[in-house]
Amino acid sequence: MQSNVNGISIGFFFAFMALTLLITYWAAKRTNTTEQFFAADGKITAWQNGWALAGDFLSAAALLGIAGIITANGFDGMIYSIGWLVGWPVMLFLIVEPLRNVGKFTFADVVAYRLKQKPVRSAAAIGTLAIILFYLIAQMVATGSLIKLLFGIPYVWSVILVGSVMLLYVLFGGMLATTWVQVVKAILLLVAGALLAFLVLRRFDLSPLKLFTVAAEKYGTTVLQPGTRVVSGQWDAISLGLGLMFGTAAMPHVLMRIYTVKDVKAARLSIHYATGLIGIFHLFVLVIGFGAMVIVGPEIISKAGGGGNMAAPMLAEAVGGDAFFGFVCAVAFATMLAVVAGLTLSGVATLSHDVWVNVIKSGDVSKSEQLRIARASTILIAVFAVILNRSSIDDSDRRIRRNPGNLVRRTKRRVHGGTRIFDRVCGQFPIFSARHNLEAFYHRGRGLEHPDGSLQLSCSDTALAHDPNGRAWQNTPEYRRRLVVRAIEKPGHHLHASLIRGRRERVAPDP
Amino acid sequence: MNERLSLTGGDTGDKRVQLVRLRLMIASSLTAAMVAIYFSFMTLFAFGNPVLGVILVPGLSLGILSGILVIICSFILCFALSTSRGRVPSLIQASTR
Repeated sequence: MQSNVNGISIGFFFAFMALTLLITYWAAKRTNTTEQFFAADGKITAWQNGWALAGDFLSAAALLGIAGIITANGFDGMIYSIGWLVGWPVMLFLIVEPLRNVGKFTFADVVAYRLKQKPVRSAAAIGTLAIILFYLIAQMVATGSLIKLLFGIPYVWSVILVGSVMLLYVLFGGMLATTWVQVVKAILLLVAGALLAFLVLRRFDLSPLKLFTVAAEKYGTTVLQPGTRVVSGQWDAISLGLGLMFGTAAMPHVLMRIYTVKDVKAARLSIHYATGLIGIFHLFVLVIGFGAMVIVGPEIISKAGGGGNMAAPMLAEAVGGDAFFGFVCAVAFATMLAVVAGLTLSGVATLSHDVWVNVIKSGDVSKSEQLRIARASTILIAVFAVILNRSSIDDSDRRIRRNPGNLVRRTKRRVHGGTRIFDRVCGQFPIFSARHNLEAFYHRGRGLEHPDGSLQLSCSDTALAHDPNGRAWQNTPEYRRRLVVRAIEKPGHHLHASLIRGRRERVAPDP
Repeated sequence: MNERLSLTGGDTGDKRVQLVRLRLMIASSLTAAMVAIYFSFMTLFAFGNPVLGVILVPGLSLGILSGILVIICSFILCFALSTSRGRVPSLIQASTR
């Protein structure tokens, strides 16, 4: 049976690879500029971006990890689902609009706006790269392990294969290919989740209450009640809540997607879609987790290894047979691979746009050079990620061979590592939120002079600061021309502006 | 809040400032509401286990119900933002009349 299952999984795996590589080929012909590479030229529609955002965010942890936690711990596992979802409204309320209006490609565009570019961008880039690399390693380890399992090839070659595919997506297809890969993956994930939940509920007259009742009868009512199974203390629970909520609201690879749509309205709408899709998916996961508890049993899942991550695939095998098991395994693989591509693109944007263009070259870089640097950064990040993965797993394996108890510790470290990524991202949220929502940064009614001497807008003049597509002009000659025209056409408008090289000039209203 | 504004001809800078402030206030209020709802749930999870552990009907605890309600509330608050964004310019006009 194992060979049949592997055959089906491998079939789905190759089908997914073929489809996504076709998408990459199609996207490569449409990716010729920096804007196209990093933001798909703002031509992604709101619903496409909503699906892509959901795809970017829902990693394998959402399907395999949370389902496993719910199976083992009951209600306690649900706090992860809720925590990851509630960050999305916060992102919508506080982050999306300023990010879309002021930024160009990255989170650092907004944080550094009107501040000294080099130190602020450097700090933001270090933070973003640290988050991305940790997250990338976790995802690549999981993807590499799955490929090793499917094909029986050494782990090192599995990781190299993952790195190569991710490189192809990002290097040639840029944001356009990555977006469509995310869309395909999100659709597969939602379909797999919906089908699995339906097959479970069919055994309980399509009633979740009946499912929960059977779970309570088999394992006691404690599985429906909160406990201390996933947190070690009361304040630990509050800390976890903070990390999950605000960490979700500031994930750099998710925020980067805000730039792929044409305006703020589309950006808001795409977050709506994403929140809806993620919320619905987490409701499926609740059913899947309790379904695995009742139909398969937490002891059997625990014995299967993987720290409980096999709950969803084993449930799929129990309710849908080998073919469905193979499909769920392939979806898990697609999920991880797509997230890896999204993370890489975000890292590339940070490395090339923030570090190279704005810190090293002080913004004095031609568009063609920007694209070359972006592509070189893609190769650099892919190679670096593969090397880090290889060395981390080699060290870990050596320690496990010396002492088998280290295997358990490694598993625990990965779980805690995942939470730490959210803790780290959580640190970005207050920086961003304060930076953009505190009035102290704006000096309303008075123009601000940028440290580099260029002209900047005041908050009350933001209508003037955007082109017809809602993009910020950001110190372009066109912006300066508009400023002068506005002062002439609307003499009643109190417009203050700082001018190049420190000279401040006030355009006073006509008497 | 820096979204391209739809104010026309005779609008003054003050109106713009008012608009920006109103939008910021709405965003902050909705954020505060979301944070309050979620952390009420998490505080009960951490410090009020017996409350969330109450079994309402067979197969449904207050914890599961409130968890699902938190998810639904997040949808509602997102919808509230969209609705409010459409109404902001008219609110400004009404307040300055």
